[in-house]
Amino acid sequence: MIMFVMMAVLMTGAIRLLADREAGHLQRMMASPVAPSTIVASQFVSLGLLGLAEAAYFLLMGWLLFGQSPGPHPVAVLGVLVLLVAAVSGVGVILGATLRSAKQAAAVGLFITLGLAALGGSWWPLEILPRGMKLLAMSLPSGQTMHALVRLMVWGDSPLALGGYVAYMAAFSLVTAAIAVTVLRRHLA
Amino acid sequence: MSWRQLIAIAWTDFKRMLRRRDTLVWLLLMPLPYTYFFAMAFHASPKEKIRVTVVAPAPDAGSRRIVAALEKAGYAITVVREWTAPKPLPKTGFRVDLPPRPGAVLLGGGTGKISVWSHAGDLDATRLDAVVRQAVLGLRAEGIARLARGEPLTVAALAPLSCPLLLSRPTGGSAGRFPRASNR
Repeated sequence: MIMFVMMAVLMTGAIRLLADREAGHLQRMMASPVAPSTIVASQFVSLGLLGLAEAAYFLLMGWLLFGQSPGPHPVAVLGVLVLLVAAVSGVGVILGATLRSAKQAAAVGLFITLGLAALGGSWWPLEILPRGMKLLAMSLPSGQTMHALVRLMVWGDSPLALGGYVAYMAAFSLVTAAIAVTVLRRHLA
Repeated sequence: MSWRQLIAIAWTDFKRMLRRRDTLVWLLLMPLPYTYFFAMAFHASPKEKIRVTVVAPAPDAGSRRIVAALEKAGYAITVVREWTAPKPLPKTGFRVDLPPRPGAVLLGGGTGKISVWSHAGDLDATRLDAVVRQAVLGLRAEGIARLARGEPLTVAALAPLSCPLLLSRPTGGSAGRFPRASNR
């Protein structure tokens, strides 16, 4: 689920943003009476909606096909997924604003998605990795999210125990969002 | 910044993305085979039983209880008297060697060795090892309970108690609880 949510935002979202840039949609919107901050913020929200739709699809499919329950804290699981989407939306906007073509966005988005998924423990259990790889996984948003979901859905931990995760993801989201806003504004100016 | 305009633009962009055929393929169709194959890779399918060959040279009530515990844990068990294959492991699954008359060994306090054969680093072997240990500990606990009740303790008496000892393995813990390499 984490890998496909990241793929939705980083690859599909960045391609859409680049296609809009290439077609001049964003520049035309900048010429309209809509405030530039509204246009920039809407790019984050649209990528976020795509990521959340993918997460909802996975939760539904997991329930229908595998009987997978979100665990005793479904609202906290949703909160974790919202934080993941917020963290990668900034990266998606950065990709969409800095790369030059949709093909580049597809290749780079896929590369980053697969790298984050593999290193973050989406492909194999983190328990079988050596200590150095575990530390690397926990330094990535994908690894943090995987660990938080395991704690909520498998171990049944209290959401209150995820303070460190929330702080990490909030900081990551703020930093990437700040960079994304700067880059996108420069391209739209 | 206008929230109404923001939501209108974002919603329109979102709908445009969902109308693209490649988006639907990547986001709706691709995850299904991926999820299935990942589940298969990590034995998430409950239909497939792991095969275990139990080598019991002189079976008794004790070995039957250990085999029953393995079957209860979901393994497909084959019991043989001796291991005649050229390789130490069967083509699929694991091998568990029991000592002769393990029930008598348990009751008499003699020495007996149970060997769980597996490939190095196989995580399924860890679970199998735990199930075997659980079965042996359960038998010992039953023996102690029978002694405490004043019941005669014989190999034949190693039938399940009317109120068996129940063991559970709950999950739990706090952050950063991945086992250290030195502990594995």
